[in-house]
Amino acid sequence: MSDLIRIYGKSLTTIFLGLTALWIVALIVVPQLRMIERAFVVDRYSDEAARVGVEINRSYTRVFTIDQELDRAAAGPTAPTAPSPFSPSPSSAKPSTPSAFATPSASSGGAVSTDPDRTATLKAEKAELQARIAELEVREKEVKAGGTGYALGNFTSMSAIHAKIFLSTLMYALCVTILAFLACYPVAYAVATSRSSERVALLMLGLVIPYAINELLRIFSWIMILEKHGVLNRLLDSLGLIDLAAGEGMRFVASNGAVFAVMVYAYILFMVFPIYNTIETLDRNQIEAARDLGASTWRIHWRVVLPHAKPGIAVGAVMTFMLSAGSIAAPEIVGRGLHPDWFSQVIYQRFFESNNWNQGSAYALVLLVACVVFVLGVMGLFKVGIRDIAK
Amino acid sequence: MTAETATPAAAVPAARPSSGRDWSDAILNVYLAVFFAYLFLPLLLMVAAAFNASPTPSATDWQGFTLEWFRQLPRDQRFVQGLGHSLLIATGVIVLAIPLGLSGALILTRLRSRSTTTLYTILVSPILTPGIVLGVTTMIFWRDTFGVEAGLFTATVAQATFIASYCMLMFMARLQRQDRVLEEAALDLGASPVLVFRRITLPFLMPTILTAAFISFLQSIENYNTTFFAIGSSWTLVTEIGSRMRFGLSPMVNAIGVLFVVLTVIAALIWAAARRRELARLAAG
Amino acid sequence: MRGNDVVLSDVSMRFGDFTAVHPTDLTVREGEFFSILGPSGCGKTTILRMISGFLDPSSGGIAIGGVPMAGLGPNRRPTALIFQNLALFPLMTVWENVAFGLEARGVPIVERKRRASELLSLVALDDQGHKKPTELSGGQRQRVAVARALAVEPAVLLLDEPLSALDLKLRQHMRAELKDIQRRTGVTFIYITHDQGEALTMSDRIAVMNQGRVQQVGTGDEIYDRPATPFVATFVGEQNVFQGRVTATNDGQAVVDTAVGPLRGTSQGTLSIGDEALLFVRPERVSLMNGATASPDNRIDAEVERRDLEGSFVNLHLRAGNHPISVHLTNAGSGRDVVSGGQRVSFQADDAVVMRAGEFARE
Repeated sequence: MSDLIRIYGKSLTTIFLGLTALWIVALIVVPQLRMIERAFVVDRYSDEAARVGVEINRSYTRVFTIDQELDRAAAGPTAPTAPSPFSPSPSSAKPSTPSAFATPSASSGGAVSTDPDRTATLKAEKAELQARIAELEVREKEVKAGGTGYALGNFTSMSAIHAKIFLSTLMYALCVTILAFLACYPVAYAVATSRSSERVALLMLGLVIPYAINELLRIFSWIMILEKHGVLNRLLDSLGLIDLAAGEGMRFVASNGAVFAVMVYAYILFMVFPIYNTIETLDRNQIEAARDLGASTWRIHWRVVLPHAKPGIAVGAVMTFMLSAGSIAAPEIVGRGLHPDWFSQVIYQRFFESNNWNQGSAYALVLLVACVVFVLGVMGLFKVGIRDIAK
Repeated sequence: MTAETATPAAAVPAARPSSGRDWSDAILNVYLAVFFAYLFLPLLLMVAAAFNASPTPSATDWQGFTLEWFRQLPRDQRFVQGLGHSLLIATGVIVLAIPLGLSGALILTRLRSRSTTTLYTILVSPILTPGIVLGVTTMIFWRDTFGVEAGLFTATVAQATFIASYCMLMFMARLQRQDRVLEEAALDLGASPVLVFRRITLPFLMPTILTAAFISFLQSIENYNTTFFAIGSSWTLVTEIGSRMRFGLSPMVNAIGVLFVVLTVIAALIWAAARRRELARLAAG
Repeated sequence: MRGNDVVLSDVSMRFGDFTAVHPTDLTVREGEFFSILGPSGCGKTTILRMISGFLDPSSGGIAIGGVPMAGLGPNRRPTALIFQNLALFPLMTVWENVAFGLEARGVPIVERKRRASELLSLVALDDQGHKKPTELSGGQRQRVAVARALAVEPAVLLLDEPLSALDLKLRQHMRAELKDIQRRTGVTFIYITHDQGEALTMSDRIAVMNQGRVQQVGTGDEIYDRPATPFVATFVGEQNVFQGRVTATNDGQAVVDTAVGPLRGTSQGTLSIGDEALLFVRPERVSLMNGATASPDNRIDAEVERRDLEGSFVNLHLRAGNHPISVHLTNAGSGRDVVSGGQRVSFQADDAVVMRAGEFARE
């Protein structure tokens, strides 16, 4: 610290410390803590609140129809007033829209009698309903005031389907990672040990271009292959295996297999560069020496090249796994919104469709923890430190 | 390839050519060809479809060459506005990420204490965090704490969170190569700390600042996963492309794709040239 | 005390458990070429960094021209430091480098350019101002560093082994040049080095340091002829060393009973009979007893083992019993004769130093 002050002085040092603190607090740590906090916040009475809310709405709707009937009875055979699509209920912000109830009862109001007994009954019912509404509204306030508390409900209430999606997402991500490693290791090795610099430059260019092209476009280019009228089906058609004209195209998109295939394509190159970077630092004489000592190709890789490439493999594995497990682009685009079987999509739904941010936070936290566990696991397995991982 | 390996192998006695090696080289070359075909064929299909008159993007059902899809692009308001949003966010990200990353890098490289590993772990953690989690946390934090709804601002902040980490790593690599004596020498000659920073540290870092700004810009423009969550009801060029891809395909998406590919190839060629020069410089010096 | 003396009072430096500099008093006089000589790790660079303000002493205080330096950063002290690797700013031109200190003081650019070209001609680098430091040769870069440091008109110029990166020829040339610049400018130079040749040729006075302690301060001749400790005796120049007990003392001289017989030398410090003592004599002060040139004081019979021709002198390796003796002869007169077999050598008591046993300098 005194070093920093000696060189940059108090004011600049304060600025550097301040900016770093801002980054840590406002961008990294506190947002994470807010998410974690939300993950453990449960609306204890949310079920009851919803039930009460629905009943209040229903009662208001009934009162509304009674009023209409009474109006008609008073006005005689005049034309029925058009029913408002909106309920007069103060609880109209509730997800259950009152118009769903209002419409059928309003139409049934067409065949109404002007029976005075009927009028009395209706009035009695209305009074009863209004009393009930007052009671319910008090209860609703209580429930809402009773509010929220910290609990594990957001996690324990995860449905079996969501849990299954979570596990299969991790499995797929793991498979993407392993497949990417198997596919990329020979490539990284070939580039890193290539003797001609022109060849290295060309190969690197060939890797960098697809790597740098936008993720969405890499995904999209595969949709063109997998689509119903895409390249793959046409290929099968021309081989006579299927008849596209007869509508026999296979539905490749919107399946987990398609998402998986696309992910492999989209994220495979995140494995190449880290491995290449480590193999490149390997003294090539070591390979020659091992060969000279009579080691087989397998043994050279197993004993010399792979151990040296460990940090690179670790980086590649972490990046590939993290991108695959957390990808929203691939499942959304390949799935066309039809097949929400990826955990990232479940999280999205919690936030933006169910509007349940607390449970969404819980799910996001579960995903984050899975990734942290994976990073720690990789660090343990490859015996590398955090400074080797993030370079 | 065989010619290339044979010449040095003859020159270096330790590298005895053997039939086994030729075989493995041949297999490796075939594999490389397959791998690169796998990488490039889908992209070529996508590019081809951008010039196909067929109203659904297709590379196989050829209905004639057209530039119509390119002509439609500037007329599409959502694309144009999305591009505007993307540029706005990217500018914001650069403005945020460079100072943050630089501060973190200076502190980490100039502090000699052991506690820096913890600090380092915290500062690189955004890189290792799934993008959607960053989007979610930023969205929650700003709404819950300040009542700021998700939008362009939260998207900027969410992106800056992890792009600053990349900037920091670049600055650290550069700072580790700096001779710290230069700063001491300037101080010894009577320079104030601010002058030392302005005349010695900043000029030394300038190439990295430009590179970091360029990379931040690209990362920001291209980002989907984080932005998708943090952008709320607004949109960027890339999230718009994403939603077009999901709901009804149009060759306009391919046309944008071609533009992206062309820009990427140009950037990659510049990168390759810069790398060659760097290697040549290293070899010379 | 004169105008701009540098005074270290009881200055020490500790890094955790390690004491880099033990409490030290030292005064460097204004206008002096003062060297601090010692092996690496002896604390000399630490002293330099404390004077320049990059380190705060753990105890004691430093004053320059009577002004205490405590709490002043390196940019507020009347010192300028020439770094071991020179630390020229690679992104600035030579003249910008030289004028940087003036820039820091807000001197207008016209004046800066004028001063820079003045200084560049002082160090014989006219017309090189527009180049980048990397385009200059090692010796030229050296001179740019000197000019840059002098530009701020420091009371004290601190030099941290600035010649160590140069090759031998250039190093010898630069010694003369630095000494010359110092004489012309009259600026106090404090010069850090592990090279005794540099220290002896350039310095008005030298402080020899070992393990965080100043062993001796004196002129080159004093250090060479009257070393205060066994370390100084063996670190500076070559020595023949004889070990034994003191058998007699009188008149500032002492007799030591050594393996080659009793030898007489000048006592350094107080010695009493029976003390374990060391007698040092330089190889060039030992002569062969052929003819009348022999000294009568100390005579040793020895066998010539080897004759090494070093150029301007001849190095004779002799052996008296088991004890090696080294004799340097100028390559003229008797030195040119190839001698062999038994020889009697001698040296004067004035040329030998006797002191209490202690630590030697490691080779």
